[in-house]
Amino acid sequence: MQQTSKQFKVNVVRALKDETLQQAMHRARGGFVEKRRIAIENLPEFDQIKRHGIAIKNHSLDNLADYLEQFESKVIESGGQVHWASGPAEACRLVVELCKQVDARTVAKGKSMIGEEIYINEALEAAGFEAIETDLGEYIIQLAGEPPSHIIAPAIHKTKQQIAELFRRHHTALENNRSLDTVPEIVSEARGILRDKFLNADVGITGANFLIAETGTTMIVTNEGNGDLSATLPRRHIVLASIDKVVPTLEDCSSLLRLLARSATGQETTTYTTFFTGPKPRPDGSQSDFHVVLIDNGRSDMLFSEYRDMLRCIKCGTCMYHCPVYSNVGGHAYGWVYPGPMGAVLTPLMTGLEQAKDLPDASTFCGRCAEVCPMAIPLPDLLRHHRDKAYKLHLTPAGQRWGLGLWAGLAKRPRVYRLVSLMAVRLMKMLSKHGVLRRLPFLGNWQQGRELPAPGGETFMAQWNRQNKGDQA
Amino acid sequence: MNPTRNAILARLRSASKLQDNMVNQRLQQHGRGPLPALNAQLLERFVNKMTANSASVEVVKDDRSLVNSVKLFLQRHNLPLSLCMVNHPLLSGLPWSDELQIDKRFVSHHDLTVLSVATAALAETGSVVMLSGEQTPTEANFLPDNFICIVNQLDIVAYMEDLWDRLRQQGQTLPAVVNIVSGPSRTADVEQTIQLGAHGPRRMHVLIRG
Repeated sequence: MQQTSKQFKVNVVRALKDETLQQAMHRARGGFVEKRRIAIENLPEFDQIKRHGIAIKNHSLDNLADYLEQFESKVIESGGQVHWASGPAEACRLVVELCKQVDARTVAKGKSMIGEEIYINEALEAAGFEAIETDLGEYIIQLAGEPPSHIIAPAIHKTKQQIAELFRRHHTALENNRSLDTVPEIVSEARGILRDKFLNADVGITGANFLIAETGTTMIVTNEGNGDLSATLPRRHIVLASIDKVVPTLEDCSSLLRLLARSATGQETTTYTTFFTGPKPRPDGSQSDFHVVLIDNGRSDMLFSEYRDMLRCIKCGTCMYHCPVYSNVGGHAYGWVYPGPMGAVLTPLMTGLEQAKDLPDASTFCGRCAEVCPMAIPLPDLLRHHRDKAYKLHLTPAGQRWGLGLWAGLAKRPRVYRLVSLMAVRLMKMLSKHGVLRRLPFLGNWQQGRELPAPGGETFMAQWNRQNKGDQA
Repeated sequence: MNPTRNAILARLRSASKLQDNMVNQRLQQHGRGPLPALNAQLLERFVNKMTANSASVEVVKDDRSLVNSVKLFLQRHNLPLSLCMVNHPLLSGLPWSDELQIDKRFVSHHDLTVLSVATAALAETGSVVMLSGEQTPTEANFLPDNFICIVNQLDIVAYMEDLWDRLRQQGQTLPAVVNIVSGPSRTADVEQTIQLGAHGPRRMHVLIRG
């Protein structure tokens, strides 16, 4: 996957003009926000559980090394193996090696965001393996050759017709004039195709929602059951997990699960909540083997930094649906694995600020993301750190820097500020017609569908002083 | 021994100025977080939630009616009167009638209907708990189109936390797979429309032995 975050502005224009995408985003927008709201309303203890969940993650991050070591020793005790990777190249090399060891041909993959992060599919394919995404959404975008546009609903940008077209193009063994008009028909076809893949896969790869130090357990939530089939049927199960996923006990995991499903899909629980510990028994009496690849990829550096809070993220994706920018431009505009507010924080950290400097700018700091985040991650603050850095590194364009400098100069001189704002207010009043401003310089198309109400001719400070005098009299 | 491992751990240690040395204590205490009020008896809550999760649920008073319920379920959905059941003592001891063709063997992906036994059930979320093992293989929970699951009423617990305590009391380390199953498999990946029967069962029927 080619990162395109650098052309964010171009991506945005394209997304806004893409009618099919706009139609798909419009359908998605309301539904998730409403479902989540109802789910949380139905759990009066949500805030209490949220505070507890945040404390669990903070404590786990404070003692990350100890919990990872504990996790590792328990995995080994239960007969599994743990591998460590500092970055994508090392992680991919380990996974490819693990597949080669069992002479694998086909690899069934459950959904894994860290897998996207390290480009595991590309690595497996380059090594000659067939890697099949088994989550329906991931499967659809794999056929389309696209990255996910949402971390929970990767194919949210696709319409039913587009999916049917993809299936017709790729499932060539099936009858050409079959009907694929309805959701049940589409899902049923995917089920049939992917069932064969599961049964023939030599290795299963899944991600992990949490790692449990107490027992050396990795766990996943799914609605489809694809992660379970990927993990259960093949003779080798490889779990990909970033190091920030570890929590102390099964009880801690249970608390966090109450926040995860509600925030992610508005469900009280996902259909399948599955805990894997060590090698699994197989029908022939043998055992499948169990490998966990722990991946850092910049997280140990984040722990040192002002972005530490971001490591609490449980990847629910709720910040995306609630973001006015994401819900208009969709996930692909962000140009990398993680879109939306959390992506605008993570992408510059993982791929470099110069690759992604526009992402932190694509926010009005409305703060809705931080408000709905079940881990209370101060996303706007973290975006502001990025903007600050971009400014210091001279990545911000000259016009913007000049504007900011001018503003700062004014804001630091109250007298001049008052004078200038008074002049601006009077000027705007003069330019207005019937109390409305139709055209202002520099705003261009922005005003095509909008009108600005004209100011009343008095500045805020002047009003404040006048009214306060009135109060005292 | 492993340079990457040691480097990562060393880096984390130097970052953790806050390390509070509570780790061992924390691991042994199994402290619970705030729990949602259930506002109902365990059985009632379980039945309501499991039904809301799109499974069908029946409480049966004895094993004869249990067998009958299995038959009625198959008839209701126009399914052949045959099923594969896992090798579990509870199932072998049931008074099966000749009307049903029962195969006791390892489940295959050709099986339309599979019968298995849950170790426990969770009232909070309306879920059954399936532990991997010879008597209840994990494949049974995912491969069939129709999944019938039996659970004893006494094994319904309130929360997932109760399950962990029960397993610890029984001196069990966790089995290779613990599946907490809350209804039939589903997906909303096509236009956010919920469709049952994504990769796992299209139907799920739960029989509670009262």
